[in-house]
Amino acid sequence: MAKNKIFLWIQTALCVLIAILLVSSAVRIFIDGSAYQAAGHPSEWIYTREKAAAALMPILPLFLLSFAMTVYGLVKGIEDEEADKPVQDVERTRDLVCARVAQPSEEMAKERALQKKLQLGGWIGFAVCMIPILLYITNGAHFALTDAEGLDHSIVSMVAFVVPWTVIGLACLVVATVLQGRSIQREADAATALMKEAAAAKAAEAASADASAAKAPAAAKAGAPLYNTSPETARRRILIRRVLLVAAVIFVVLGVQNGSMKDVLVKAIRICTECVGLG
Amino acid sequence: MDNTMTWWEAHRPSKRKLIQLYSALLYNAHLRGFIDGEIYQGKAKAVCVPGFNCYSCPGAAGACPLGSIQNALAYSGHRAGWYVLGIIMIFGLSLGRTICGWLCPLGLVQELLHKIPTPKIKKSRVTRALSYLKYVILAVFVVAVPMWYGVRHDLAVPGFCKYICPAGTFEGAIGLLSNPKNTSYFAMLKILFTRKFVIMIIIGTACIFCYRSFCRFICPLGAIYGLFNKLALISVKVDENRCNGCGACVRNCKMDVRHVGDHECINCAKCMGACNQSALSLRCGNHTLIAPACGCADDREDSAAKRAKNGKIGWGAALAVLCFALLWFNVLDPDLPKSQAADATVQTADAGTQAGEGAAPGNTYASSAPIGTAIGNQLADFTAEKLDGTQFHLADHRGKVVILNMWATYCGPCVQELPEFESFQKAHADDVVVFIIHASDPLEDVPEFLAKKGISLPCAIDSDDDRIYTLCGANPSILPHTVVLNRSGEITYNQTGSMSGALLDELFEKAK
Repeated sequence: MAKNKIFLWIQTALCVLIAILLVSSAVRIFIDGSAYQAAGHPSEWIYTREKAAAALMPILPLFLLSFAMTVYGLVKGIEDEEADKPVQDVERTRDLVCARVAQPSEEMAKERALQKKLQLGGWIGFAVCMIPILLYITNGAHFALTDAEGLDHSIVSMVAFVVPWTVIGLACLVVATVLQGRSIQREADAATALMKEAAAAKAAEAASADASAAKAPAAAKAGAPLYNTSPETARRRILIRRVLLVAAVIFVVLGVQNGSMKDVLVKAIRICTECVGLG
Repeated sequence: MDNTMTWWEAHRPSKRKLIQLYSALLYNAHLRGFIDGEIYQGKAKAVCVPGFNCYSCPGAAGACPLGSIQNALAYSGHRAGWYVLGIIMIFGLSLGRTICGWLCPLGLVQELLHKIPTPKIKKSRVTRALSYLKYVILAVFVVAVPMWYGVRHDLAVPGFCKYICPAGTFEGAIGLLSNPKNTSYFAMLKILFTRKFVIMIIIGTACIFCYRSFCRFICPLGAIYGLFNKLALISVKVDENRCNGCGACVRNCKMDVRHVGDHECINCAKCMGACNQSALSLRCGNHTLIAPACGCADDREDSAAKRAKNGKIGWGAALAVLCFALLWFNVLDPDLPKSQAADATVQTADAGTQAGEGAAPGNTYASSAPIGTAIGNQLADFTAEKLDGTQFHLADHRGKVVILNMWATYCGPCVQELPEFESFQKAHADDVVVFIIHASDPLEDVPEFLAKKGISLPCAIDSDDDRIYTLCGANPSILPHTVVLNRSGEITYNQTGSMSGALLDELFEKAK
């Protein structure tokens, strides 16, 4: 067991090291090459096959070692044993436990209200952070072209604007969802305690408590269905799908006629070098 | 022997893996592209494939849906992209995110990377929140950037392809660069490649530790298909009469799903193995594609046998399609380029007749260099009809530095560098002739486009057989391309890639 863990961590270190070396090699070639270009040699190549080969050679033994370890690990079945185990779904656990509780306690109700607030707060936070992004991307002035390098400048400015707002928005969601998870856990704990109390009281009162406990799974199903699609909803979905499929076929026909199919063809056979990341 | 069988039983590729591999091969059936180092240019590329597969991959036989969406948006000022919209809707409504789980080559690559034995990061409430990042990327890079630059500046800027897409870097850039015939492409690699290479390595590394990281957090195509997931014809369906609400399906799923079939569900059908109620099945409308493994009424012996028989027929048909595709895209397709030997013969024949003209006695700028497309060679003479109806005859410009630029209105970097050429021409009007040659298949009115951009450079549109491009040694499938000739008509620069003002100055100094 311990050996397997060590094996996994060595492989992790190798993968991360290879990634760092690849990134640093590319960045180093770029920096050195750009400096040389800037020093009055604009027609000199930044990357060459020789430079790339020279940068990759020291990484090759590490790569081969990592590859050999991967093959060995796969053959021997060495893997993170936790990886395929089911994750804990506190929400579902809470639903199942709460379904067995006849009357929610005040604490449970409070937690439930808090969860709603947190969920709403998280989404509002995310939505608020998306507003500046939306305003930014809907304003054409931000996509100006002042010179040949204007495009890159405006994209960099856009990324510099969008990334912080996205990070803050996602952070709002993450914080809200983590706090919500804790609250759900507290609610589930409260429900479990309540259920235990009720079960103990019932056991003391009557011998029929066992029979009612045995029926619990049925109650769980009735109280907390995970999937509940009404026939009406199902029928509506089929209808929407059919309508949209007909519309899609009409769009394709229109596209063939208005030349947008040719646009796809031409862009697929005449690629621009920047669009694939060449330069 | 027993042990080997046990290992094989445990590790043999699942039906889903085989289908993923099959679709990857089918999308990239132009295998000769990997040998020739050139992309496929046949008409089949007008059809989008459902999964993520860069159309600049030398093997790609179809168009990438995401690249097509961005280009359609970039062109929305001229023409509504009905075709791409229709295709995406058909894929979404028929398959939804089943495409991600079963038909996406990038999904396969991510899953293979995740097989590398390391500790894994499991899904959590945090990863579920992060899964919304892909919608931001969709709005910003796939919709806003291409649309604004397209509508406002007539400039095709596929934001996601250009700045993020790891499939483009891996399949397109590295796919082309790895071929020894494309060594000259290294000249183009600058900051853009460095950035995208770093992004690709980061995403690839993340996929080792975190299941389908790209798919879950970044992929805008998955975000689009996710919107159709509840309406999709093929998906994992829940028999609500059997489901006891235990949630094992969600707990065992590695994607950030809340329910089976929601916008994050890729319909991989792994949850079927976790459901002890046999409530899940992969269905296409009313037909069961994969039934739950149980001895229940629905899985009667005859229906199981029928499915097995249908499966065999399906695989047979799929293999026949693959064989035909391989044959078509590598041998039979009339759009495939003729053999290089034949091209060379044509060029040499053309060149032979013109070599004498350049070296005519009494010509101050006569050159005795051999005709060809390499540096130091003399470029074969040609005549082209300009947009104003007059003729451009290359030999008439001996004594001046000639710059030939191959471009197209739909190529963002080509359009961006036109003003550089324009101002360069004006600054060196007596010494330089800049002639721009549009690729053979214009999508819009080129004279009107140039007038709108304020470009007055002489321009021609290449013939359907790409005569001038071929003559200059330019690959008509990869733009932009620039050729610089010195006063004697000898090539001093012949390169694919974008041009800068500083580089133009240096090339002029070298050429004069």
